[in-house]
Amino acid sequence: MNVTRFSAGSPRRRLIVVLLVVLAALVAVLVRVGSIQTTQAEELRVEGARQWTRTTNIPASRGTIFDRNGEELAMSVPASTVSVNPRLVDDPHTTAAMLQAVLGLDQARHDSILAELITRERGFVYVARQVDDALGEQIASLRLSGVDVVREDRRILPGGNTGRSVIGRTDVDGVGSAGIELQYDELLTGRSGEMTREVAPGGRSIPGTESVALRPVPGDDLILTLDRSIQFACEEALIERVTDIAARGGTCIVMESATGEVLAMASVRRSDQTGSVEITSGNFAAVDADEPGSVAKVITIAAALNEGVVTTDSGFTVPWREQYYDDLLSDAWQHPDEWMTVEEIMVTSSNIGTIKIWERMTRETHWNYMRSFGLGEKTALDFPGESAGILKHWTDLWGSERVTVSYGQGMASTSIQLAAAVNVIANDGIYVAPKLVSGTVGPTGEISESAPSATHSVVSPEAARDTQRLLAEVVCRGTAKTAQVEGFNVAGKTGTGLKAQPNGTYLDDQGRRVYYSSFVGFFPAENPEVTLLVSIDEPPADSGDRFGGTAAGPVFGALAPTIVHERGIQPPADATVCGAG
Amino acid sequence: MSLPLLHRKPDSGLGNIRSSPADPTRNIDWVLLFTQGVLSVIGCFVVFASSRNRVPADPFYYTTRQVIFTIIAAFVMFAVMSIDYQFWKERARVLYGVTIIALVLLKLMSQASGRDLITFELGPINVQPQEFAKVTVLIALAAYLSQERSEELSYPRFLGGLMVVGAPALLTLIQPDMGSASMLAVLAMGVMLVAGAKPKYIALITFLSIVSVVAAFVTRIVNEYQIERLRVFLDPDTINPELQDAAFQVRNSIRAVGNGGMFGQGWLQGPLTAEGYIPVMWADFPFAAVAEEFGFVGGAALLSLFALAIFRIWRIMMLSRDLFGMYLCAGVCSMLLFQVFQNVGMTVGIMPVTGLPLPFISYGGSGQLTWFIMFGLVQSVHMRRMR
Repeated sequence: MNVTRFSAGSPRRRLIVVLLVVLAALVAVLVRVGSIQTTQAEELRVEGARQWTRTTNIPASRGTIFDRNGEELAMSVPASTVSVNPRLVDDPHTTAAMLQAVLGLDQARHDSILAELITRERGFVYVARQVDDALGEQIASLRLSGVDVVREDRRILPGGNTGRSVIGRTDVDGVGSAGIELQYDELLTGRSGEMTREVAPGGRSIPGTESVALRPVPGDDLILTLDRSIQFACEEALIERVTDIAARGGTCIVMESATGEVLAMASVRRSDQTGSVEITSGNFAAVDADEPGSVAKVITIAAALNEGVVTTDSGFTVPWREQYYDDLLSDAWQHPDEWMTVEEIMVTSSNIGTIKIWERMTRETHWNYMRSFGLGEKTALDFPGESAGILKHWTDLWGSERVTVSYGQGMASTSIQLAAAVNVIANDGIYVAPKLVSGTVGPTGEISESAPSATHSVVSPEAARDTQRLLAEVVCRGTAKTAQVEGFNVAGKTGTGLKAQPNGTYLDDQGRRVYYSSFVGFFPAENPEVTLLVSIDEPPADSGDRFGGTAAGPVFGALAPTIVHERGIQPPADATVCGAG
Repeated sequence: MSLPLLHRKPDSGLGNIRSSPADPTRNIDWVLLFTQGVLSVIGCFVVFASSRNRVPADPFYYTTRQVIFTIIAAFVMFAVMSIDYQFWKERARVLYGVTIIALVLLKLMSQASGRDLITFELGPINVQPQEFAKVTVLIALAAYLSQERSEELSYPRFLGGLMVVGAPALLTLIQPDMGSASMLAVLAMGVMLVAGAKPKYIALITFLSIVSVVAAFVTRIVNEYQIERLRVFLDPDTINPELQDAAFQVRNSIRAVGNGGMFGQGWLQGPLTAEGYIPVMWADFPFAAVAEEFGFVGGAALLSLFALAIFRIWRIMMLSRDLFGMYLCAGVCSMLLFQVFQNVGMTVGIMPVTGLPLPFISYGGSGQLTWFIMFGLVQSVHMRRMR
C-alpha cells in the first residue's frame, strides 16, 4: 500500500485527517474573530457608535449689535423652524393641510410640500423657516408624525434699515455675510453646543439618554460707536438731497474729532430696479474709492504750512491757467494773473495757486504727507471689502499727474479715508484711526472696551490751527457757504472730483463729465468736536448742483442741528460767526 | 497519538465497585456532559442579553422559553441515553419513513398556503421536521452503511447511502431551507469519510451539493432574502439600496464583534446587543453578543468549549464498539463542527448568512432538542462501548 496516498483502507489515519480539518476550521474562525477584535476593533467601534448615538446642535444665540447709546441695531429674536421628514409621515394630505392652515402657506407651497410627502424621496424638507414662536408651538402641539419644530432665531434690524450699510446682514442660516455681521461673525456667533442622545434602530430616541455634551456659549454683543439718531439723520438727509438733485448716490460720515469714533456712516444709492434712492446694503463709504478733488488741497496746504515753506499770508502770482507737462491746467474760473495769498488760494480753491504752494515742497515730501494723512492704505476699520484707495508712489506718477495730485486728481480715496484725513486738522494735527466698535459684551454681561484708536502726529498744532482758520474762511466766504450753520463757525473744504470712466477718460459715453462732489468739514471751528463728510455721487453734470459746495454743502447744513442736539455741542462763548459778530 | 485524554482508561477507579465496569451508568462521558451543560447555560444567558429589550412587557420572554426548552431537551436526552443505541438501528426504516413523509407534508402544506413554511405550527410550539431529520437521517445512514463490514466503502453502498441522504436533503432544499440541507450534506460527508469512502466519493458529494445549491439559486427555489444574503456576502460594502437590510445585519454583527475588543464591554454592556441592531440576534447571531460583551477572551473560551465537545465526540467515535456507533459519532461530530463554523463564520463575515443556529447557544426549541438528542446518542455509544 502506498502510504503517502490518502487511502480508504486506514480508518485511523483518515480520522486524524478529520481531526486536523476540525482544528483548522476552528483556528480559522478564531483568527478571524481575533483580527476583528484587535486590528479592526477601533474602526468598527466607531462605526457602531455612530449608529446608536445622534448628535444634535444646540444653536448659540447670536449677539446683539448696539449703538453707542445701547439702542439695538441688529438683534436675534427667538423663532421656530418647521421641517418634515416625508418618510415618517403617515397621512400626507392631512399633514400638508394642517401645516398650510397653521402657517398660512400659499397654495403653491402647500402643493410642493404635499408632493414631497407623497414621493418620500427626501428625508428632510423645510416647511417654513424662522416663523413666530407661537406658530411653532402650535405646530408642535399637533404632534404630527414626521413634523419637526426646532428653535432657529431670526435676525432683525429694530431700526428698520438704519445703519444697514454698516451692520450688513446674515444669511438665512444666521451666518454673517456682509458688513459688521461678517467682520465680527465669529464673535457674534458664539459656540454652538451639542446634545447627544441614543437611538434605537429606526431612529426612535431612547428616552432618558439625552445629555448635553457641550453647552452652547452665546455670542458676544457688539457695541458700535454709531449713534442711531445721527445715523438716521444722515441717511434721511442724503436720501432727500440725492433725490432732489437727481444724483446717483451719496455717502455721509460723522466722526468724533478727538477719538476717531464713527458716529454715523451712511451710504445711499439710486436703485436700478425701483429708481428710488435707498440705503445700500454695501458700505460704499468704505468700499468705493473716488477722486477727492479739492478736498486734497487741505493736505497740500497744511503740509506746506507745517514744513514752514509758506505762511497763511505768503503770496503768489497765480495765472488762471498754466502748462504743466503735456497739459494746460486751469482754475475753475477765469481770472487775470492775480496776487493771491495762501488764504485766498484755499478760500477760492485755486488749482494753480495750490500748485504754486506745492512746488515749494519736494514731491516726495508731499507724498509722505499724504500717506501720513492716511491715504493709500486701508483704515483701521478693516471693514469687509474696504478699499485702500489709489495713491501711486511719487516715483510712479507720470505727466501732469505729478502735479494734479496736489489738488486731488490722479488719485482716489474712500470717504472714510478722506474724513479721517481732514479730521487730522480738526484734531490739531494728530491722525486718529477711525473706529466703529467701541466694545463687546461677554456672556456674563461684562463689557470689554476696545482699545483707543491708534494715533500719530501728522502736522504741528500750529500748522493745524492755521489750516482750521483757513477752512473756516472757506465756509464763511468761500466755496462752502452752503454749509454754514446758524450759531456756529464751521470749517471745511469742498471738492469736486471727476470720476474716471470705464473708457479711461473723464468723459462718459455722451461726452459729459461725471462728477463726484464732496464737502468735508468740522465744527465748532474754534474747538472742533465733530468731523463730517458728505459726498454726492454723480450729481447731474449740467446743473449748478454739481460742485462740492452746491451738491454736498446743504446736507451738512441740514444735518448740523441734529448733531448739535445729539452731541450737546455748545458754541464757544466768545465765538463770532464769520466775523459778523 | 500522545494526547493523554484520548488514551484515558475508561472509568479510572471511581464509582460503584459492586457494579460491572461495563455498566452503562458507569460510563457516561462526564466531560462531554459537563461541556454541554456549560454551553446550554451560557446559551440561556446569551439569549437574555440579546433579547431582553425586544419584548417590552417581559424581558425574560425568550429566556424563559429557552430555559424550558433546555429542561425538556435534557429529559429527552436522558431518555435517549438510557436506551441502547442499537434500538434505533432496528427502527431506522420507520424513523426515516416518517421523516420523509413529514417533509413532503410540509412542502405540500406550504404550497397550499402559498408561503414558504419551514415549521409545523402545532398550537403554541412550532415543530421543524428538518431539525429532527438530521437525527433520523443520521440514524438511517449509519444503519445502512454499517450493514457492510469492510474497510472500504463499496460503490453500490456509497450510492445507496447517497440516496438515503439525498432524498431528505432535496426535500429540505426545496422547502427552502438551505442551511438544513447543507447540514445533511455535511453529515453524509462525515459519515462516509469515516466509513471508508474514497476521496472521489467525497468529491462527488461535494459536487452534488454545489450543483444542488446552484440549481436552487438558478431556478429561484430559494427565497429572495437568501439571494440577497449571498450578494451581501460577495460584496459586504454594497451600497445597493435593495441589499441594505441584509447588509445591515452582517455589518452590525461584525461591528459588535469588533466592539468587544480583547475583554469585551462587559455583561449587558454591549450597545449593539442591547438595542437590537442585529435582527433576531438571539437565534442567528448569539456569537456576536458573546464577542461584544466578553471580547476575544469570551469568544475564544466559547469556541474552546465547542472544540472540547468535538474532541470528546471524536474520541467516543474511536472507542465505539461497532460501526453503527462509530458512524453516529462521525455524523454528530461533523455536523457540530460545520454548524459552529458556519454560524460563527457568518457572524464574522467569512461565511454567507444562513439560518443555521449556534448549537446550545441559539434560541430555539427544535434545534436545542435535536442537539440534545444527538449528544444523547453519542453518550449512549460511550456508555455501551464495553458491552
